[in-house]
Amino acid sequence: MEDLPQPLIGDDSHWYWDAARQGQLLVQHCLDCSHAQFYPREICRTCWSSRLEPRPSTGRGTIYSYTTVHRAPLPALRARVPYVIALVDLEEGVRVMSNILGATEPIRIGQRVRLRLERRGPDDLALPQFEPET
Amino acid sequence: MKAPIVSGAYATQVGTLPGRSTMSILVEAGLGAVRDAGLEIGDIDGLLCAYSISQPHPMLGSWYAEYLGVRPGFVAAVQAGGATACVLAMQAAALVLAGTCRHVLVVTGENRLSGLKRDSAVASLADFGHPEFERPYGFFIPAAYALVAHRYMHEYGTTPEQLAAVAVAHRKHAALHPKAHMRTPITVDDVLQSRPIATPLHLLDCCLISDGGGAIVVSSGDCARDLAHRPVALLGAGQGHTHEHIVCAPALAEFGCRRSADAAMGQAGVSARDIDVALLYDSFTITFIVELEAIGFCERGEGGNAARKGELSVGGRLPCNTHGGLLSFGHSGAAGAMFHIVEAVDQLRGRGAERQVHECDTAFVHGCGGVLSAHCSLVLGRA
Repeated sequence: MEDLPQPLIGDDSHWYWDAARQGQLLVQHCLDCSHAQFYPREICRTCWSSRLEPRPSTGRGTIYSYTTVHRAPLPALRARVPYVIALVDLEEGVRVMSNILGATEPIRIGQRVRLRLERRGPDDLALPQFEPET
Repeated sequence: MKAPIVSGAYATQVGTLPGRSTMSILVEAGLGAVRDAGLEIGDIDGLLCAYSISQPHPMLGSWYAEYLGVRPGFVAAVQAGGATACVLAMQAAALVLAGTCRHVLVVTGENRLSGLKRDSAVASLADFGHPEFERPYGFFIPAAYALVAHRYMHEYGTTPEQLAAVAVAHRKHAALHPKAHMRTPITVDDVLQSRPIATPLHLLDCCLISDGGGAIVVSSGDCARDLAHRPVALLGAGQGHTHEHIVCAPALAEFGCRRSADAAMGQAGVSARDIDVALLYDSFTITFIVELEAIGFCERGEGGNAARKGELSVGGRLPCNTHGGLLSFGHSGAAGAMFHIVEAVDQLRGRGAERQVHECDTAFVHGCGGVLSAHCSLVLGRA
């Protein structure tokens, strides 16, 4: 059985994945214009400052949109269908992609969700995921 | 200065073309367009091409020139997903307007269906996701458009039945085109009962995977009288870009459609109500609806009803995708939107046969790549 897809971790985001291993979701904030951004970058996408600070997210957000995937694009995902992909708006004002774990439809736009880390792969990587708030 | 003209246009047969390589398809398409223009291959002094996912090569333009045995003064390859064909046409127009070239061959196509097989072609749709922040979640292009669809339905009340009406209207048009990949009529129920891919999108809400190619020749406006056919002028072109990855899209309703269309129509000096036929990128039924409504051809939430009532069919208020689009004519990579351009030329020349739009003077073509990420619009008219 093939492994689930792993993130190809880049040089500008090691800190994001290190923090996830420690149970934390970090969001970059610009120290010059206070804009929060996702995904991690070397510069602020709003004012192009390089003074960026990762800060812990509350791990809470709402579903902006969602889909239930029935046709897996990769063999490794076949065992997982149907799975939910959502865009989640975090309280910090950034939008992330996530699966919604432990949920099938009906899911609704605006539904509140919270962080749940999924351990994945031989290096015990922690993938930030979300689940419905109970 | 005279507007550049599309002097030649050609589409290969589309569908399953066993035994045909990418290069074989590109050669047929390119030579077809050159012959259609009434030119010799030696007249071509500029060459623009796209990419082939089934037979990738880092220098496809140079390879194509070498394969054909030509040595043009300008060669480049462009990758902008579904916007590519329109971007290439815009670039070709700039080359002839600048005097760099006189006749630019723009060629697209690949053996995506036979060369890749369906599962690999679908797997390649995962590559458009962010390698770190999207792909681990099982991203592929249909899921991303499904996210757009749910949000759009939430904001504007579009229904699955309305999306299905778009697919049905496209199939009716494809039935009138002898080269189309899928010509068997379908109903709204067929679409809704086809298997779910990513909710709310069903199999028949998704475009085809096809083999095939298409090409045009863009020529300087001052050589119109030397050519084989009544020339078609490229009156305006524009682009709009807001993001690549859907996590960075500003909102799932706006995108760059309007900016791109406004730039093209502004340059051409026309507005949406002047358009006689619209060829809009339809990778999914929702893609078509978003473009139709964002550009202003229909009010928000009204596109599906317009399709159901026949307003977007030949004989209707604004005939759209009269060849059947990506949903039914076919989709073979960058050639997908090239088929839209070729159909615009066919309509403006009056060679649309059974699907000919009455008094067709002005055509609008819109290409869209990624997840409504890269947009390029063209306005073409009778020269």
